[in-house]
Amino acid sequence: MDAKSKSVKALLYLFLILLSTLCFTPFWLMIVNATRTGNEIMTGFSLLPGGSLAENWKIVSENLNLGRGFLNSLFLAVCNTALVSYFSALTAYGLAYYKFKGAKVIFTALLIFMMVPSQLSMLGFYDLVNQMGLIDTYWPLILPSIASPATVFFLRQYILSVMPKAILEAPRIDGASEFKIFHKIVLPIMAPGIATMAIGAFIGSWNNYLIPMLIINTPAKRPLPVMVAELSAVRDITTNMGATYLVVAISAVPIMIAFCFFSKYIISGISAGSVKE
Amino acid sequence: MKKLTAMILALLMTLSLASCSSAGNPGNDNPGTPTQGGGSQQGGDEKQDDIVLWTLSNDLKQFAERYETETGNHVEVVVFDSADFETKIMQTLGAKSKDLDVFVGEPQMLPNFYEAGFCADLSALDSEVKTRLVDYTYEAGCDEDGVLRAISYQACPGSVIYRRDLAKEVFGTDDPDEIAKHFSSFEEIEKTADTLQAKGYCVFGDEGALRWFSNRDPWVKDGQIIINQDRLDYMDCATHLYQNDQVAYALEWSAPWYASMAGPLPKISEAQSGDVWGMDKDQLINEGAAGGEGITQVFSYVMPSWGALIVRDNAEGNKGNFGVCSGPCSFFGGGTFLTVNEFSQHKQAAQKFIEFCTLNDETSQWWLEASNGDVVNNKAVLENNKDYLNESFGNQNTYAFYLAEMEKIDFNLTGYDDACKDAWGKAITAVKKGEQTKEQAVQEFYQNVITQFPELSVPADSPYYNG
Repeated sequence: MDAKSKSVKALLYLFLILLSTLCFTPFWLMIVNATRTGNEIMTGFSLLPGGSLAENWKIVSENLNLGRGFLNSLFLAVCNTALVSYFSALTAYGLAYYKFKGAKVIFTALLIFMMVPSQLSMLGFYDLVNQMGLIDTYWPLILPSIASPATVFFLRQYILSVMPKAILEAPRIDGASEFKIFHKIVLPIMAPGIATMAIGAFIGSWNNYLIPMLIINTPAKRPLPVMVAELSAVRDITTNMGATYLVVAISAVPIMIAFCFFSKYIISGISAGSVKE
Repeated sequence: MKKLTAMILALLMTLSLASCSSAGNPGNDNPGTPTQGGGSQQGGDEKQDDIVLWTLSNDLKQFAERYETETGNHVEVVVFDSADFETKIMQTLGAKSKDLDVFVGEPQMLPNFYEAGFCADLSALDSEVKTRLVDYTYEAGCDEDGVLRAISYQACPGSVIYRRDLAKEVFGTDDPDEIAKHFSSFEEIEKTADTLQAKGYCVFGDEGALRWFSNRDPWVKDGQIIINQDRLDYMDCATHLYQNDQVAYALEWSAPWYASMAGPLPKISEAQSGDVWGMDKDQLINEGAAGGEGITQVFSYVMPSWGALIVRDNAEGNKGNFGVCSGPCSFFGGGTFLTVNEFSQHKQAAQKFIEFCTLNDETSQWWLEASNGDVVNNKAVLENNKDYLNESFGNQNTYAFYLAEMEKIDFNLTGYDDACKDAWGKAITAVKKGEQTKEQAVQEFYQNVITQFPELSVPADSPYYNG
């Protein structure tokens, strides 16, 4: 290895180290701030942890039912992820491999709905939920995830690129039902793509604040992000800052775990497809 | 692999269906039975007088506990984040929800709530509120037609919170009445700033503190925007303080601002004020020493009564070293008002609870002590505490001071205030930085406001107005 490529390599590493520091610093600051008092956070900035972790934890545990919030959030996130994954895959498969009248129209409609930001439809959504008497229940937070145009769009493109139509011929000849084909053959082939979308759905649901904030009234039903917001209302914001950071840090843990669990699918999902045959 | 995926998915599906039906329980939501706390403990013994309260802070939880021990009626207190509270109320009550009986509002939210028809008529309590509570809170609690719809348990009169030790050094006295003379008008404040500067001190953290004094006259009256000599003086004063470097550039709520309450602060330039936002005190002092401009101290803060508590809580070694006095005009800021949901099915019970929080002398006295210094709305109770010597403020009779101050508050809140203050602030910034002449800035202000609210007009005799 000559000197030139070595120096290029060194430069590359330097750049990568810089980049990862940049990505990691905010997380580190969040963790550090979780161990400092509100006053310290307001009046200064430090890269070294402080000594108030126990104190912050006391504020959190006195004011919030963290376990309950965790379970609520987890329940919502798991339900959403499952529904998004399964039904989007089903729709994407149908749109990609079945020829029926109106398929094009439906697909175009999906694309259009993808462009509409969800905040726009919120007023109407709230009214609808209210008319149905579903305010303060989990239904309006879970069921709409059955229809998620962006995921369908991604999975349709994905399956078109990873699965040739010919694969479906063998099971059809063997007499498998259409649903069996989907469950036994299509779903496993789509798994990496689904995983990619699933992690997005999981994180999206886990971090979702606005809609649960509007729909849920009972404190015990609140998911974590809404609970965190409540903490800042509990007392003077300056005294709660450390505790708020602590809850945020704790609530980021499942996302990290989810990412670790799914990351190899994400990477393969994004890179797979092109040259496979 | 595919078996695993299928199994996981199947598991998730079953799980989701199973728990949906138990947690969601949509069939339980028929009108008539208000949805109660968490769907948990309360069974069938729900009393008619139990109510649900939506609020922004934990204060009312303490009230609710006390209410329950005294009357046996349960108040379910639900706390929401203040940033989204107004949205939440607008959505929920916009849909005529019966799920809550009492909710709170801050003075600037209340007009919107009144207009939307969310607040029930409380005029049964009108005469009591009018005579026993502080005047400005009564006015803030009335809608446009003068019908009482909201009542507050606290009052938030403003004050100048000043350093007694510095006052003695510079003015030879720390007597509130004497110091108030140095803050009696915008011209006086300029002179005070000059005097303080000669001794190396700053009059305020930043000149934004003056904005509290901008409400001596309403911003809009009879559809006309009001710019008078007083507002121009305010602009001149802010410009004077800024251009002569008489403030510490410690912006409200920033690290240097908090730090200034506890002690000396490096003299920084305005350009630096953005950079020091995150520094701690030692860093700040090093920075100041490096900048070569030395150390300064902030003489005073302009805040409502709850701000005095912030100063007290951050004063550290300076605790007890502060005093409160009046400024050029009396003002108020913030405060939590209670109001009954128009669509509630427990209006009587709700009103009883509000009465308990606001009009009960014992409750007020208890809260004054329990909150460690909150100024309550009940005049008789404040009167009883007139002689209380507040250690945190150099043994001043703070309640007596606030009581007198509140009487002077001229309630003139309009729906245009925020926009006007914003635009006027911009005009001041442009003038103080020398970007615009006073004339240009004021004209632009008129234009700004008229563009936002075409229904408003500018009186022909307004300064710098050319038709």
